[in-house]
Amino acid sequence: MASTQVTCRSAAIACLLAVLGAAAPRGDVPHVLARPDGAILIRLPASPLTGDRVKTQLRSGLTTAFVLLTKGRDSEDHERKLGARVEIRYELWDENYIVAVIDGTGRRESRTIDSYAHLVDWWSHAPILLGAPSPLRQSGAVAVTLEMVPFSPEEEADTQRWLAHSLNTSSSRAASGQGAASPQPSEGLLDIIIGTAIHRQAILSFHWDVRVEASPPK
Amino acid sequence: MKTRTISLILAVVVTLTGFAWFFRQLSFVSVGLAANSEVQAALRRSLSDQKSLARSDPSHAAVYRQRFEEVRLLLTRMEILSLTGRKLTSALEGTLLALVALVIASGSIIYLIEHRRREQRLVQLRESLMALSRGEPVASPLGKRRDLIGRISLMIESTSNAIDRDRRRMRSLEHLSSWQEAARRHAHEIRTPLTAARMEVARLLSWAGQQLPAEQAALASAQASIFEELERLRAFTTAFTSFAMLSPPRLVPLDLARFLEDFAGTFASAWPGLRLESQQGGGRCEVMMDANLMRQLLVNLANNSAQASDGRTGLLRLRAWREGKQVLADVADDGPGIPASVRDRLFEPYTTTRQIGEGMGLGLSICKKIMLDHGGDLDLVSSERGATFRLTFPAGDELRG
Repeated sequence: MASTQVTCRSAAIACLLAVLGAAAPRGDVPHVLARPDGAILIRLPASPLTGDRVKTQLRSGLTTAFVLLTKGRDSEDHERKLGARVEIRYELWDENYIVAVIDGTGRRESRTIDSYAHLVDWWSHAPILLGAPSPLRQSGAVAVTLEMVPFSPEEEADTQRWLAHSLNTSSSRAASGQGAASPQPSEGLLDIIIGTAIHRQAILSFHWDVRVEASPPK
Repeated sequence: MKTRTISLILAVVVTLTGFAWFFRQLSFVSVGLAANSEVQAALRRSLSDQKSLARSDPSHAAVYRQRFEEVRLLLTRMEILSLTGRKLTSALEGTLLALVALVIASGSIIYLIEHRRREQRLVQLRESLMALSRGEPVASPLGKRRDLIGRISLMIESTSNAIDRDRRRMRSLEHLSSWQEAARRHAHEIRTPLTAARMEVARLLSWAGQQLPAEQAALASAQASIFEELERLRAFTTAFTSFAMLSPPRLVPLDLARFLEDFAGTFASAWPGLRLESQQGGGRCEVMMDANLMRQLLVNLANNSAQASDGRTGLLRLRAWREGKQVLADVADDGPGIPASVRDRLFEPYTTTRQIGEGMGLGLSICKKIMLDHGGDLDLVSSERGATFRLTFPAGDELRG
């Protein structure tokens, strides 16, 4: 019923497995749960966090965002989309993970997790609210997509500013032979190039097709 | 498609490919340096060091923390650069490639337009040369552009003008030469019977004196009258002869301005009622000329001016100046000028504005011949008042090379 598809531009083996439709263990899929009170939640599998690339990315110190998107159909057979986001940043000084969950209702909840093992444990057990009340049909098929974005908008803007400033300053110095920075005609073009190139984009993507399950009461 | 166009396209493609390859190597190096794993490892070690220092020296923990944050920020940026480096490189490559392509394309378009224009101008140039070969006058057909084709065009125009000028000179020379030959024959035909007639008249009057002693006075008067008329005929043939036997010039380098100044001084009182004035011109006025012939020319012109002034006080201005490869001189009077009816044939022999018997009309023809023999020319130029004759000489230094 469920299948796991992992796509990764750089990981050729993972791509090959995905193309061949390699079967994943049954427990390695997300569970979309419809609670009796009408809320719909998702519990993610541990597998997205356990890959080497993800582990390296999580330890980089950047704010890694996992963007979750589910697509299903409501009782009137209209397509409905629900989403949530999990932001994880490894705090290099304190050596712990700061996790923020922005659920489907827009509520933000932060926590600090002291180790990678606990992070995986939290990830695979903590249900994330997608919406309340649930617009999705009971037992209906749901397409779940999880994308990993390697840095946050703030980090993106900071790097853009830093690189633009560095290049402009060095080109101004080269042009004037002094330290004073003055606007150059090429700055606008350079800013556009930097703004276009240093841009948040998912580097990993996971996809599952599951069904909405009934959740036991709280 | 022409070979030239194919070559151009090939050159553009090779240039772009070469540039792309070169820049790819360059950008890989630069981005690789920015996202170098060893740099990142060093930064991570620095983070670890700051933490260790903070632990071993808690009193300065805040300082180490601040340094840690600075390095962490740098590391963050490096991480992002390493994640987006390839895209950044591609964007830079693409932009620079587009710019280079734009420059090359613009250059190629300009080249092609210029090439087409050049081809059109070459066609015009060829037509000019054809016209020149047919002996037709050529005006510069290619505007005022000073490129190679423009300069060639100007040279063709200049050559055409020179050929035209020489042709006119040759026509004038041939025309005057035929008149000279006619004058020489007339002089000869008149002079021979004139001499015989003079001798026969003398013999006849001598015989008559012996036969009629009482008529000596009447015979002497008749003799004087006949000899006077014969003398007029002799003077007539002498004028013919001087025109017909005009000697070729013996050219020596002389400063024309100085020569005119000397002439004005020497002949200052030669013509009562005509004042000579020499004016300063400009530039070097060295020409190759025969001073005697030139003096004869100036005397002829001054004679004409003096006779045209009709008893009034007149002024004759002499001025020489350099103009390009020529030396020009104006001889201008303030008299009544040349009547329009004779201007077209002014330099033809026997053209005169005087009464019959007052002149042969050979003076200006002789002047023209003298100037043509100098490789120059003599023309009447328009002026507000009086008559102005322009003498044109090739510059002396140009003749000597």
